[in-house]
Amino acid sequence: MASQASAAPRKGYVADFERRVDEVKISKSDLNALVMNYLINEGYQAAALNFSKEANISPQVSWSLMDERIQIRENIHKGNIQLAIERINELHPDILDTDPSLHFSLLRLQLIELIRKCTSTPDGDITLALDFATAHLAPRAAGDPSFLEDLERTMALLCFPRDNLAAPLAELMDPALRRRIAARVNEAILEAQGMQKEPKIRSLVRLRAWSEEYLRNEKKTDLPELRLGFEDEPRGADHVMT
Amino acid sequence: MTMDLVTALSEASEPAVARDVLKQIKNNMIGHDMAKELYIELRIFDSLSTILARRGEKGVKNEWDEARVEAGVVVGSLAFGGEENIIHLLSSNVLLESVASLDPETNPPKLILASLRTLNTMLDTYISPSAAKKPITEVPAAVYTPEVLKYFRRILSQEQPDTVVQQQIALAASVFAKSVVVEAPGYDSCEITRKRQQQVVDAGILNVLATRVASFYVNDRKGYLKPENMDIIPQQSRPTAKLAPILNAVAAIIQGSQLHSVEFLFSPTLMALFPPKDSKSSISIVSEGYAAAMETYMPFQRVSVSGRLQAPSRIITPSEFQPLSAPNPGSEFPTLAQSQSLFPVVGQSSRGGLSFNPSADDDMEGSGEERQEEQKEELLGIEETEFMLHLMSQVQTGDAMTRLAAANVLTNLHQNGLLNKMLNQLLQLLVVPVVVRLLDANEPRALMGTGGSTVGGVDAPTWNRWQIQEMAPAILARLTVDDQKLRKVAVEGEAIEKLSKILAATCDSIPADIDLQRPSKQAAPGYNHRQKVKDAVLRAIANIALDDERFKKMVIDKKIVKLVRDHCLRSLETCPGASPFDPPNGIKSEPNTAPVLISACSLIRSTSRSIYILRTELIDVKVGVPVFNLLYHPEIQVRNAAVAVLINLVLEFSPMREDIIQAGAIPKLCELAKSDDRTMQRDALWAIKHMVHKSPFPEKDEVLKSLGKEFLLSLISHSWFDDHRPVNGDDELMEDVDDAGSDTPRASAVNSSAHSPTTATAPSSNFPSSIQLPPRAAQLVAEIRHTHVRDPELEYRNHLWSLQNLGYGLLSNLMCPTQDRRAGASDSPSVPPPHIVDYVLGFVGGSESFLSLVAQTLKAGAANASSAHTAPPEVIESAMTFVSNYTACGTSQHRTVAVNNAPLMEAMKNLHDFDRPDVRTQLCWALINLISLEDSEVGDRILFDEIKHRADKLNEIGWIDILHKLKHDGARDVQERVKTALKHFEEISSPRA
Repeated sequence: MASQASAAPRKGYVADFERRVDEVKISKSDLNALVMNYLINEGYQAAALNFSKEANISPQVSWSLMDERIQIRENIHKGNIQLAIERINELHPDILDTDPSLHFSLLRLQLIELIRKCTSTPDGDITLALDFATAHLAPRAAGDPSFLEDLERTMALLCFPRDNLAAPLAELMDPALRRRIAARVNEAILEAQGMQKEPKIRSLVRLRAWSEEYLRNEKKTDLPELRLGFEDEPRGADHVMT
Repeated sequence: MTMDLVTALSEASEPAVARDVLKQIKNNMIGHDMAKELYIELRIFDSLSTILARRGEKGVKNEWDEARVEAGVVVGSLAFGGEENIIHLLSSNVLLESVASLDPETNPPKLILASLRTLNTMLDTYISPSAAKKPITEVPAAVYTPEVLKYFRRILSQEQPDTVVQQQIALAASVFAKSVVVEAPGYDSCEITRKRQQQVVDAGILNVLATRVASFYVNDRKGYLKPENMDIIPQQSRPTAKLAPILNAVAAIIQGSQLHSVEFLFSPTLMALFPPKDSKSSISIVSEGYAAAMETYMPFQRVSVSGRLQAPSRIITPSEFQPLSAPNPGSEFPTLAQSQSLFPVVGQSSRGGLSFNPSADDDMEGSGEERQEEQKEELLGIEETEFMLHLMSQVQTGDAMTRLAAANVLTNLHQNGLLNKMLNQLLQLLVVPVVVRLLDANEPRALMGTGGSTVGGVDAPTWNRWQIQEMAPAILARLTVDDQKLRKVAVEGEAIEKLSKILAATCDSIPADIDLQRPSKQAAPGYNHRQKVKDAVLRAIANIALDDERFKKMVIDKKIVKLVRDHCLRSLETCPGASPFDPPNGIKSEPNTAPVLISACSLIRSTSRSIYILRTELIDVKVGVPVFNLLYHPEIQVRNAAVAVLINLVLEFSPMREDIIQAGAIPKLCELAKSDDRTMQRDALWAIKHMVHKSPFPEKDEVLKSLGKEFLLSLISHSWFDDHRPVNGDDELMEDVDDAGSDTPRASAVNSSAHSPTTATAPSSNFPSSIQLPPRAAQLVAEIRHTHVRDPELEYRNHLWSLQNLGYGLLSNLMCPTQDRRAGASDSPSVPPPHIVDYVLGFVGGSESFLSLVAQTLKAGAANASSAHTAPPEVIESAMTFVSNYTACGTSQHRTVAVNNAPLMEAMKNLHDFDRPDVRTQLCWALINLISLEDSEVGDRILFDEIKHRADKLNEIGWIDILHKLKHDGARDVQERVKTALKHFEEISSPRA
């Protein structure tokens, strides 16, 4: 583990700290379980299967349910939102009934896909998008100011040329929005299946960042800067591995 | 399109067609409330129930199963639509068909999951009190039948690793956690709770749940298992299995029941997994018996032919199991001045009018209470088994829901008196601080474990956070019932500060656009959550502040009473006759459900037990009239809670008394005193008794006329005991006993004061008779069974005695000097109207005949009275106090009437050696009053002659001899009074006189 003395901690302390870090023996099976948990949680099915063979572990996971989860994520990534919604309703019919915000996000994404489609050609017909917004989004937006704001912003996409969108509108057309909503859906499915919605390793990294900050700020320790080896690693607990 | 789909569904004769139509309907309606309403209007429930009813047979593939699964999902989605949808659902056959589809042997797992989710959603959804059909009654009516409970047992016994099966188990357990204990007003909640607990235990579900609990600790205990127990040990639980719902179900089933607690702790799997420390003294269960039991109750479990129960010497000393109803000194909830004589007798003026010295009495009670508490701990406590310690450690680790669920079980074991001294200490050190810390339920780890149930429009993380916010104060409220040590630990953890913040935040978090009279579908879950939080927080504060003056002061300092006045006393239901709720300007307060109103009353009652607070904060925030208005509430429990507060608020030194009387308290309380509810009869009389003490004559007159001669006489008359024996139906209606589900000290007080055992029938144990328990454990179970046998006649008799007790107190106070507040602020009591005794006793038939009734009561205290008519000592004391008050307040003629009443004198004579010193003291006071001369009367020859005549008469009867005997009485007070009485006798007899 590399260290860079940004606050110039004492040399002896740094060496002592690193020695102690090296002395900590971590169980390989724990590490394997951690990796497997990450792969399952994030939906890397093939990698999880290979890793289980290599590490000789048999995770207690339903591969079929995991497969369904991956399919839903892929549908969202591809912009096939209607199919994703139907799959969610098949797998966990309670999710969209109990999470109006997630349901609205999916429907809005579906609207964005319709707008993308109809604005891709100069004489595209926007009726379909308008009908969809009227039937599915407007009734929901009426009862929630934040939904209304999102809907208005989305409808603004119809008013501007696609290649000349302001930053807030361009975000909506960015595939990153699909990924963000897919991640939320993934979490909701995990939660519904009684699993932790975020991988354990992420909690551990958060814990590490918190401990580091605590020792440095509260206890005023000459703690050397700890890096996990990620490139362009952002500082702060909330940004690690997100 | 919607109509087309509904038509297609109703006409579908092919399973595949029905399935496809249902899939379309499902995708149309999920997350779409308006679509759901439309489908309901088109009577979709009829088609759904028809499809659900197409059940198959065991082992035969049912071609309708896929369509049935879709139908189950559609029903679940409709239930997520809120109150209106659920009411429609309850009006159809869908509930029964869903419940009938729970058998895992004949139904697809996904259908079972959908049906279980629907049941949970229905139980969790807010339904307004005015609804004709409510899930809290309809769901249990469908579930608590032997057949359906069998399905549940099968669901809970499943061993497949599937996520669906694990979800089924969590949801099935949640159904019991939510429905076994009945807390809703309007029902005989204790009786129903007991019945459901027994049904669940009889169905073997408690044993299955115990096995489920054990399965979470198998890996931890691998090194400690004995080979002979290996067959009984379940598999380690799956990673997706949830402990919290299982523990909550266990907590609900054992709540208020020692027997079920013991059955849980001694369940075969827990015993096998956590064998007793002292294996030498443990006794093996007779193998055949256990095998039979396992076959009967856990057919899905592998059956062991051997098992071990905890060493009997380490379990419980059997004969010391107190009945649930046993008077518990700690739970006594005396009202201000309850045990005080409210009127000083002649010669007693040195005690200074109203003799109220709570601190002195409290100190005395405290020391005795502590001794008894220690004794109880020694006698009842179960040895700290490894399992108990695991539960304790579960409170320390894991997600918040599981920690609270473990605390829930431990709380109930503690309330049932099954934790020994060390475990109680651990409860103080490990459990209470965690529960207090979890009051701030915003920690990220709080977001797991409810089994995936929520209601429509509330996502799972929010729902889980709500659950914790509701559960933590509710558990704290139960933990602090009748346990001063735990209250102290809670306060040290800053519980009052935290609870006051939660209450303030809850009261302030009303959405701006909410309809205050009827929350909309979207606002209903939030409203329901706020109500549950308020209820739990108010109960917790009420219990913590019950006894300790410092804690009460903390409550006042945090302005909690003001919050309660402004936000927690407005009723959701209309109260015909009550003046409208009047919140201070600018305060937006939403109406409250009955449980919140009851808890608010409990809190005010707790604080009103302090004279200082009664005369400062409570009058400042003007709680009197809002509480009085609750006497018009349609729910009897709310009225009971309000009357219980008024008992203190109408005390003579309470500044609110005048306002409450002006609001119409006299006719209302008199009307309530004649109601059918026993608690109400007693508490209303109690309040009236306090209200008439030193009140002006017109008020006393109004009380007399409102109650009426017949009623007053019936309180005292012994003919009640012969003529008003309860008939079966009547008695059931009037039942008001048991502490199952109760978490207020008030309830405990009700039980203890009624001296009544608690259960309707002797509950059967889930240990079948074929099982041979270790002798002392079997004795223990038998003991508990025995103490649970209820005697309705005895209960009724005790109730009548308590009314008689209050009747004497009421008449004593009616005869006491009046104080005319209206006439003009006279601080000292005015001279009693000379006719007051004549007026009061004349109203009930005259002195002579009434004194004969009193004599009858006093006779019932004599040792030779027949057992059926033996009066409790409290009644004898109050009757004797009445005599002493009568002789003090009355004129010389009244005293002469008393002396000439031979039955009265005879009965009094027989009490000279009565066990209770207070009775002997009152006896002496009565004699002193009969022969003493007031300063103002000195020189009145006629009066003196009358006194002399009375003294001679008493001497004739033999009282002087009796007084000489009493000179050596064990009680110092009696000795002093005897000296005074003898001195008076001597003075009157001496020639100088």
